[in-house]
Amino acid sequence: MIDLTRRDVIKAQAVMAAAAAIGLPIPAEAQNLVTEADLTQLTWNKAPCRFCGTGCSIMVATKGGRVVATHGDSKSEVNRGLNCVKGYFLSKIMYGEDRLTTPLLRKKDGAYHKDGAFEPVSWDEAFDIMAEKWKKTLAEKGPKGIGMFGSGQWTIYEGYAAVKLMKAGFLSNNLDPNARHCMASAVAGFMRTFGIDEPMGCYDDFEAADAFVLWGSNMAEMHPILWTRITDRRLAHPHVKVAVLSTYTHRSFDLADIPVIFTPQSDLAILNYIANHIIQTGAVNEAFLREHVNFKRGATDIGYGLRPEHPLEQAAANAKEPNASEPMSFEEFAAFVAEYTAEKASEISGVPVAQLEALARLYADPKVKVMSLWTMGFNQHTRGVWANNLIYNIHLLTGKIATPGNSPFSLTGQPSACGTAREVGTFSHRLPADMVVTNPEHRAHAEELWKLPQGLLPDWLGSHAVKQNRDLKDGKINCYWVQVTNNMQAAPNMMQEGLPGYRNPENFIVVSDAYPTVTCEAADLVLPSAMWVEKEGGYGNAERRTQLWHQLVNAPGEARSDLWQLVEFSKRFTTDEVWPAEILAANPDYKGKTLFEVLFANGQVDRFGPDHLAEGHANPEAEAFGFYLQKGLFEEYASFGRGHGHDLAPFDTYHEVRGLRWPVVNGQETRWRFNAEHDPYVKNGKPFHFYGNKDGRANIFALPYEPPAEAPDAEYPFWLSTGRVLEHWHSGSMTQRVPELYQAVPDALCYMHPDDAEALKLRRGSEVRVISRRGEIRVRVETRGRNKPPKGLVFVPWFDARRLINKVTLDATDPISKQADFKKCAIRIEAV
Amino acid sequence: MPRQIPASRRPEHHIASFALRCDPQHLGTLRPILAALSGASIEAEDAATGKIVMVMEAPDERAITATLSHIQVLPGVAHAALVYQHILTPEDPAPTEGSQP
Repeated sequence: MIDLTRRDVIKAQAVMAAAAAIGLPIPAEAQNLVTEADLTQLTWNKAPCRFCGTGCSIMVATKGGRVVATHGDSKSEVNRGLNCVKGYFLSKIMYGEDRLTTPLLRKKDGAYHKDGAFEPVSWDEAFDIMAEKWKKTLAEKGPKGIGMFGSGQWTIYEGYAAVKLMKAGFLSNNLDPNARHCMASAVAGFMRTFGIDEPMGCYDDFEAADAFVLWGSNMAEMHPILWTRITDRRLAHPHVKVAVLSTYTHRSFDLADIPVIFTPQSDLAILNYIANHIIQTGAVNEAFLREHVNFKRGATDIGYGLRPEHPLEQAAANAKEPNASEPMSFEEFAAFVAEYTAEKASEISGVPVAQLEALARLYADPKVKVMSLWTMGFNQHTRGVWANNLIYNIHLLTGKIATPGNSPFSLTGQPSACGTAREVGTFSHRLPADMVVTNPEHRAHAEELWKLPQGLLPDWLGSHAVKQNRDLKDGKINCYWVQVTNNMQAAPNMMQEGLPGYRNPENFIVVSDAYPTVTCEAADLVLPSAMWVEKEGGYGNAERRTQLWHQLVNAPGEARSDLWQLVEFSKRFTTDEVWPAEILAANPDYKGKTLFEVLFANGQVDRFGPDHLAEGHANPEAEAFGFYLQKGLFEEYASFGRGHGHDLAPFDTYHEVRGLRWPVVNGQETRWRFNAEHDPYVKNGKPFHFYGNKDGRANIFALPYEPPAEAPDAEYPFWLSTGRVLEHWHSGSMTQRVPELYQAVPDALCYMHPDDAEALKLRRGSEVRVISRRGEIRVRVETRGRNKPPKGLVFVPWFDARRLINKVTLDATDPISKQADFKKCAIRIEAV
Repeated sequence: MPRQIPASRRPEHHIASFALRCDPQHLGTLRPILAALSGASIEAEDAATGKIVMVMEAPDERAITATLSHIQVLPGVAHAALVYQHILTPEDPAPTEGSQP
């Protein structure tokens, strides 16, 4: 089929790339073949992978307007030429046969109807009905009647444009990203302990640490490229130890020196035991504590983030002030954790004392540099903020922080959970650069940078992800726009909260996506989106690395970027329609302007003309609006962080380099924040400065073990934990369209212990009903998979649109972060 | 809005390379297993570090991703990463490279 010589050339190319990536000499034969064949027809460009939060840089080859080849970018410090199996799908992900290519509106008899069938419509008709619904709701209910749900897959520009449109245009803080489901507890943990978001360390820690502790994270499957760095470190340095903690056995246990299976929720007890061990064995770094740390007693009995009328909320003493705390002394803290002996932690967690002691010794030994890593195990937890605080406690007690190899490291699940969702400020309480809507100074600063009238920005806390679904069901939010996320499938308690809200006859639901997801099916209007390299974009990964890319191919049909959609929609509203009359009376220059004019053609965002565009790359947004929208948005956004600890380099720099870790000061990125040797923001004359807090100190919190919102009982005797599998990324709306992936892991399975299966007279492959107090699904049993639960716990992944495990899960959240706990609820299993 | 899994597509030829890190003590056992994998070949290796470069050809990526997943769980394989992948179609008159990795 293919000419032999050309095949040989490509094979040689493949060998060279792999040899270079792994540090082997390139075979001479391969080298000769490739250098002789210099007849390229492919165009290669860099782009960050659009899957997980690792931030691998990928070289992408296009030909004839299609992506035809990819390889790991050898110039990238993140992945160093490697790529994981998900990278294979980058070339296929845009070419599924059911790509959405035109807007679709539910219609009956030629007009919009909530119960109608989807019919293709023009963008004009789509925006007409949208604007009509938005204007009606804004007139009747004001800004609280509309809402928007975005994503950690939004590009930086898209998230920033959404913040401007929602918060400064429609004056509604009802904007939240799906990062609420994955990162909110990490964010609140950072803010409570350090007063500034995101890790102090970086991926360079992988080559400097002596021990790695995975708290609930299955990095071998979920962050495979970072796992190669741990593996390499472990294999090349025999003294290096790996501890893996989880509620079930998974692939990462293959490398574990200390394998730990613990009872759900008991991580809180283990963390407190380690703190106690450090104090009892004299391993506290007293000088570090004296100079750099405060102690605080956090509020307890804070509830479970359920609806206020739920008995658990009624019974909770501090559900209204979950974030409260008061100062305490080191001695009081030591007394607080003293009850968490190895024996008590063992009793709560089910982990043998010897294993707990081995784990604690890693942290306590002053000669061992420790990197702690976590993702959803900590964050999707009704005490997720506490879990984040407690891990920082351990690193702060020993001073093992902000130095190479000593690194508490919060991993992320989406490509721009940090760069967009967090840094840009798409959460319902946030503004760019860690500022919050409830702080009058922060609002005034944003109004100034955005060139908007004083007092314009709303001061109320918007509804977070789980509350948005409740508000839709209760008819409080009537117009709702979802972009780049499959939240009907992703949100908890779908049948009682999600679906009733979307199908509430009072509501108009708009979903922008590339494929017909479960969320699209629940919508009234579906807008076709461009994806990945079909648009110009920017992402920020888990180590504060910002990466930009150019558009490389065109989107199919009438699919347009979410950025174009947001900015184009802004043209349909005038300030007179959506801003208070008194603001306009006091600022007459703003009267009669469109939101497009005051938000985007504001003399800042539109200041770079088409002459600034990179040659050879299409930019439909610049064609549509007449200026280099992405560059203008980036530079305006960057003005929030420069000089405030979030400095970004100039826009054009990011198109040259493989990303830079902020703060970027005088052209230099920052690898270890808060460390005087590495961070230019350390200005207290000491080795460390936790400048996120006004007193320059980090906070150690006294927080107890508290039970989960729901635990197994006689009626529902099993724990249910949900999560991902390697082959499918999150909700599977992209990966399930790649046939070979679909065939590799076609259906979600119920992973369970063979003894539990036998006791229920089930066998591998038996079909069962997984039933909770909220709903049920049918699924087949797997007793021999690579996920091996202990007795009493089952694991069901959530990628499968035909087996929606979120019909079963509980919508309990962490009361501080409002992040749902997808890892713990009680179920029973019945044979079908 | 029916959910579809596409079945038909253009005939393709796939070429991919993998970078493996193995426990050097297992290399003797692993080498013949890896060499026997259909469509795959060992192109470079370093016995001291357990590093191996493999290339694989197949008519679709299903075989390649399945093989890569299989390699990843072989005893003695610490990690196996994808490095390069290229999709050739019959319409491509002169598919070749331009990258310098």
